[in-house]
Amino acid sequence: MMKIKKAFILISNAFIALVLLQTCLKPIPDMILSGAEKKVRMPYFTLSDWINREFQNRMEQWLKQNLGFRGFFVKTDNQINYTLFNEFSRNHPRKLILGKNKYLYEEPYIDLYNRISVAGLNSMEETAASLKSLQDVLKKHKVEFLLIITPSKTSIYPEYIPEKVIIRKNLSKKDSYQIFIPLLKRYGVNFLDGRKLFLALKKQSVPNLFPTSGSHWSLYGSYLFDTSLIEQMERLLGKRLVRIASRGIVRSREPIDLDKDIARLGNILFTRSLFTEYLYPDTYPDAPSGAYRPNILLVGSSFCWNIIHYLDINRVFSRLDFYYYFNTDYVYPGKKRNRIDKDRVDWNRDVLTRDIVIIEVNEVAMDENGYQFIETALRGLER
Amino acid sequence: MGFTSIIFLFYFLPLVILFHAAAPKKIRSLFFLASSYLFYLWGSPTGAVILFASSIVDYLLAGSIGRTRRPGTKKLLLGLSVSINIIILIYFKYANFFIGEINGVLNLLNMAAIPWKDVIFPLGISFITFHKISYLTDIYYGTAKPAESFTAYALYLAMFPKLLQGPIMRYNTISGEIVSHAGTLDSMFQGCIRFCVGLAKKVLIADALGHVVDAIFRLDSSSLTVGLSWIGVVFYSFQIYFDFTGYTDMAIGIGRMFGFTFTENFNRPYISQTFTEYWRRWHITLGNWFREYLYIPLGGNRAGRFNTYRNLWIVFIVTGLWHGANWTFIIWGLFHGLFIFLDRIFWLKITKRIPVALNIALTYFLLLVGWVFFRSDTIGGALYYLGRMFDFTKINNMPTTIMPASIIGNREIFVVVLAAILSFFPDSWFVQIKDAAAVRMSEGLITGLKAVSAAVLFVLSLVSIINSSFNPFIYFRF
Repeated sequence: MMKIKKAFILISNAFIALVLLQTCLKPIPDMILSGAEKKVRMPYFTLSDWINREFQNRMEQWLKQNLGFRGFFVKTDNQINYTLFNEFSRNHPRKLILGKNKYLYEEPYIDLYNRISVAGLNSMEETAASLKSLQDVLKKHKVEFLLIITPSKTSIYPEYIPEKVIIRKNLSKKDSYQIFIPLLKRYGVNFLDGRKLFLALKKQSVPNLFPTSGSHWSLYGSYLFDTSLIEQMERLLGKRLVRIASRGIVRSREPIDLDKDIARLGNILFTRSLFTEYLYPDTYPDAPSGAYRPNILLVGSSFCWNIIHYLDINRVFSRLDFYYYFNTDYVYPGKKRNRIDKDRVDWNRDVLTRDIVIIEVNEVAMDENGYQFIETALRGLER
Repeated sequence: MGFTSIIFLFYFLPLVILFHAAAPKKIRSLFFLASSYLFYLWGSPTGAVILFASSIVDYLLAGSIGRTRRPGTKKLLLGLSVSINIIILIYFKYANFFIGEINGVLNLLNMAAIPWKDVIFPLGISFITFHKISYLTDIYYGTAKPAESFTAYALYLAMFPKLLQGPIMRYNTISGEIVSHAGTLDSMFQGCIRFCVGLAKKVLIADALGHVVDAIFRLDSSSLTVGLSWIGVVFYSFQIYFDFTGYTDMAIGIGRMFGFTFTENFNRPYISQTFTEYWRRWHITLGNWFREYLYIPLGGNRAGRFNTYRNLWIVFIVTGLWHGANWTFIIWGLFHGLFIFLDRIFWLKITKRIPVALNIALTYFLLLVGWVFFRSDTIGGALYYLGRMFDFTKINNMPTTIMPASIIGNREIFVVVLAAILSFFPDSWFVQIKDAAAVRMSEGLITGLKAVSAAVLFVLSLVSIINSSFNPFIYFRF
């Protein structure tokens, strides 16, 4: 019996020593955690920080964030939750919800479906009016404008949402999208409706518009959207553009990039168990001689990454600047990154030299008014 | 630093155990005192300074109380020393509250508010003060001898395992171990097991339920339905029990590792059949303290019915106030006082004729009502919440802004069922299981099972602690 007690204490000590060794020297590569996390810096000691407990709080956070095997510990806890309780950790600021047939959702999209986060009619009308003003100002300078509405996974695939999180009695209410579309029509804003397009494609039994393991639309879905986008740009610009053609569709059980973003964010030990089947078009540019490559300014959210993917590899544009949340400018080709100083945008150079300005807004972010681009542009261009 | 923090689990505790074991016996108490002050300096720097200074004053005054033979002087010294400590407690714990209330009244009367800057509350000051008062009073009554050195007294107060949340112990129950304590292999093993059990209670049960409780108590009026309000308070009843009993287990476990024997603080309170029984099972050392140092000195039940009831009410108002500087705690104390009062008048006789299960259910139901006051920030909030709980006209209403499943996951359902089983499982069943295990299994096997279970609980708790610090977004918006 004493041997057991000795062994227990020895093993406990060894475990603690091993974790500390890993913390300090990291002899074993730790598992990498997916997702964007605010890094805590090791605090400097000051007497005032120590007295008001600021130093201690930050030190404790820093130690937690830098503990050896942290990746393994986090993934183990998440795997336990997933395996035993069929759910993900509730620590995510945007909770992950495991739906039917391995469909994963982020909570804000479920809230959108449940009509919990509905933008107000007045603010939507203001947005529609501002969009129209921006479209008119740009038109004066011979720059076209297009608003693209990207769909939510919950709008396209509500059938996989777990019944227990659906608020049935809210479903008869209008959601933000249903309020916004008539306003856009009334004000005469050019727009491309991704939700309408995807629901039509779904009706035609086109599969895989959203990946089971992703929050954003699939690469395959965005490829289909890109073809519509190019058609729309051709109409607005009155030119034949480079189009995207496909040799066929590759089926894969290995998702690429955003197609697995929520699954990766789940940070479980065996992420592959969340994967299903994915479709990837084998594309090539349909670029007859004289096909025009426009200069595009795209303002939007992370839904744009997949839009850009096929436009970029097929060289559809001559130049594309992606104003990510109107914070960072990614310049294509090459994806060069620059910080945007909203007060110092050179509107003549950066906006009026374009063929077209596109603003992307997702159903879940309709109240975010183009991430301040619209009012900033209106102010800048009317000066 | 909390017992569940990384700095405590991986740095402070292992290093203190290591150096304590390596230190010569003569300086072990001094080393343990220094470690305890380091612990307190980390968590509450101002508290540590106040504790040290006031400990010197107490030690000197207690020495004088012990030495003097004149009853008048003795009484005066006791009064002085106890008053100093109560003034410190009132200033640091209640001044913000009282000044705030007075300023509220002055504001209503359109009068100028008392200028006041909030005082930082030193952690554990209520527990420390009660330890001090018990020591000074015991010296006065001669039930304990004055500490043989300042180190011994200072260690009695500052001992880190029990510093922040008890258990509250009388000096004479631990004075021998303070002077000479040494952990053995057996005490280290038993201590580790108890610590792991406490850690799991806190992290795997209380914290898991806490997420649900916080979410429900935050809900707006359109979402707080009858069902959710009951779920919220039931979850809270288990959260607070497993949080506190988990902490106590960890404290007792750490104490064992170093060769100290701390008093038990809980004895499955939710199986109580009356409020009187409940206070013998819940926070036992606090109940004992109030009986010994407030109820009995007030006259206890020796001075007629009226005075007995008056004394009970005083005890429960102070009990409420001791838990926090807020009207909600005072109401909670009065609520408990009311049922203790009713027990005394007639209820204890009636309960004998009621089935045990019904008594337990009724007591638990009333405790839940009390917990609403304890958990709420304001009396208004508590009454609103209670209104929701008992608004059975809206029993079929469903929330419009949230679904219960968004708040309560499968893990929380599992945890609450486990918590309920552990809380309400009859005592006799535990004894039967223990006896059956002792008959069928060898002692070695039982020890092995304990070790493996503790290791599993530790790892599960650890991964949960680490994961709670990981809150990622898919992307940053920059």
